[in-house]
Amino acid sequence: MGKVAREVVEKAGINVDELLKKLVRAAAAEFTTFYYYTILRVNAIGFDGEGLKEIIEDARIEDRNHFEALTPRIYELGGSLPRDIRDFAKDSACPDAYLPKNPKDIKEMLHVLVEAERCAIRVYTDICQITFGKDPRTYDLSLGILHEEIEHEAWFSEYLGEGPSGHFRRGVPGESPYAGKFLVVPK
Amino acid sequence: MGNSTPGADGVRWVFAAGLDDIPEGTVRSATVDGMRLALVKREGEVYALDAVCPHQQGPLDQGELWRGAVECPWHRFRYDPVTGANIYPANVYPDDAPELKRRDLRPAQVFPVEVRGGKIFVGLPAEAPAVRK
Repeated sequence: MGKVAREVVEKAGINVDELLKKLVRAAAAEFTTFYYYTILRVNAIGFDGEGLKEIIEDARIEDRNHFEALTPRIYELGGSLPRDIRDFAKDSACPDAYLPKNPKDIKEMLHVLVEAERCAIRVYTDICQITFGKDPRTYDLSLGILHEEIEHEAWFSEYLGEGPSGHFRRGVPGESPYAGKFLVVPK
Repeated sequence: MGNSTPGADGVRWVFAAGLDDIPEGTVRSATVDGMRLALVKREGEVYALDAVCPHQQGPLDQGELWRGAVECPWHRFRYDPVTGANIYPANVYPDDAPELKRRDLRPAQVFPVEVRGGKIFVGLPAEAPAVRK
């Protein structure tokens, strides 16, 4: 734990224990989403699925990156990940992104994906609002992740016919252009 | 808060808040007869839910109204303020997994609301006073 790192955040008026709960839940959501997106990606097959597979892969790896980026901050602030992974998964900040009953129904799969991203946007917007002007490091980290979650939503939303995402795909899978600087081994 | 008005319909009407205490599009906390409620104002109508999220006992009264539903701040489950039915993740849970629905998608408890003279009254069961805090 970084004693002064935590102290300055407390002094700025943030309830660090509450913030840590939010960060652990967010990390749990990233970790479980990485798992569920792996299943969705494997099942994104056929004429429509093959095109979707690549963006699920980008989102899947970037969500894993988010877990890796969040974890050091949790420990810096004096928190920790639950010892039992079951407790961790149960406390995820977003619901599980289950494979639909009919895995060939790509529209249904997209529905699962876009809702998961919308949930993540809510989670990081909340953390950004709490930390803005008070905890620059957590804010910067959450903002980086928020940028990527917003892009993920836009990709899946575009597939659903809700309008263009407005951006191009990643240069390499799971590039993490905004949160990458927080990874121990930068992309 | 908590002035009780007896009713003939098995419901005790309890004062919960002033109508102006709940801004449009928000969720506010109120404690009546020892029970914590989430009061919601949506399109001018007021709704009352048990503040304890049926998923994992998160604080619905500290949540937000999001896309017309009450969103729990812990795990982002959303509930229809009128019926208490789960909206999200019910809309993405697979149809072939009823055990998941039974486990996760229990409805939030809702209570009838009356607004009289700018005051919000919530109808609680007359014979089973709430004790949960």
